[in-house]
Amino acid sequence: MNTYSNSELISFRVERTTAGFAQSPDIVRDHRNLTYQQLEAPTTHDNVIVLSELPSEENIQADPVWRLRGMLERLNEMERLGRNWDSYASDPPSVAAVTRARALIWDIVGQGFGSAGARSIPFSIVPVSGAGLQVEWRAGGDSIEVEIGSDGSLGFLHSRGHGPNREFEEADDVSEHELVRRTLAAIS
Amino acid sequence: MPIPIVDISDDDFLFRRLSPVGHLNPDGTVNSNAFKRNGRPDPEVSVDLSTLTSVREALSRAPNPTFKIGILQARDARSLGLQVRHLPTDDDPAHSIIEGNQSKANCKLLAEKTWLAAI
Repeated sequence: MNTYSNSELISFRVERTTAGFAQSPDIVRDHRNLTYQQLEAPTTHDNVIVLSELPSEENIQADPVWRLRGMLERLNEMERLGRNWDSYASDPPSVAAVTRARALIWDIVGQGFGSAGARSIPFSIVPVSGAGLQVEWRAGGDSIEVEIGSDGSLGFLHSRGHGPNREFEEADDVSEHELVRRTLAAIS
Repeated sequence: MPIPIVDISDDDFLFRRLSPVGHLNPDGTVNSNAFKRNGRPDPEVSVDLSTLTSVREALSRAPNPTFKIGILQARDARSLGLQVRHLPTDDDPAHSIIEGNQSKANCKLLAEKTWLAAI
């Protein structure tokens, strides 16, 4: 059994029953708080590791890996929502919206986990009336809500600060590149 | 016989049906998507006026018993520049609408002002 710190782990790949990671070669291990077992036969990376132990119940909420798994499970649930989930006759999120959301989450986690840690993991994933999805990231006083339309189109609401100094910025039809850049900036 | 239109005061409460699988955040707070329709800010948010109904009656119109009722005050919607007025239907004499919601920011602010009824 080997112990790795959050900061050592870059690029996630989480399957239904396992969670794999690529380990950063640049960081000295500090044996912090996450315990994983090394894969006997790594597939795509030399240093891929896989989660082997359930964290205690009280640590699950704080464990970024388990939060990420929960969010991805939540995304899978979106595909199984029935029609009229909102009582206003809305369809469940489209395949295009779910696929786009999954790719976006991996982009943010993959590029942002090293610097932003758990903040790179979405705070919430919810369906939106009209077969779309909404994914939200939060970091301190900032939040960014990413809307994904049924056709995979992207929009956002960026909220900064608190109280009377709070500022909002919003847009539709944003490129994925711009959205990833903005989200990474918001959570860093 | 037409249903008489009533004035809605700033103090009146408004009930909004919420889907437990779709409109709530992991921490139990209300998500801004509760005030969106077809992927856009809902310009005509349907609510029930508390003086003409009850939480239980509002819940009875939901598709199943897992739905929740979110509560906000007319004052909170009006403070965002939105209009609130009674618009009864044959099926729902308490039906009212929040009009003028055109921005994602307003959806978020409405959600932040909404809390869940405990019944």
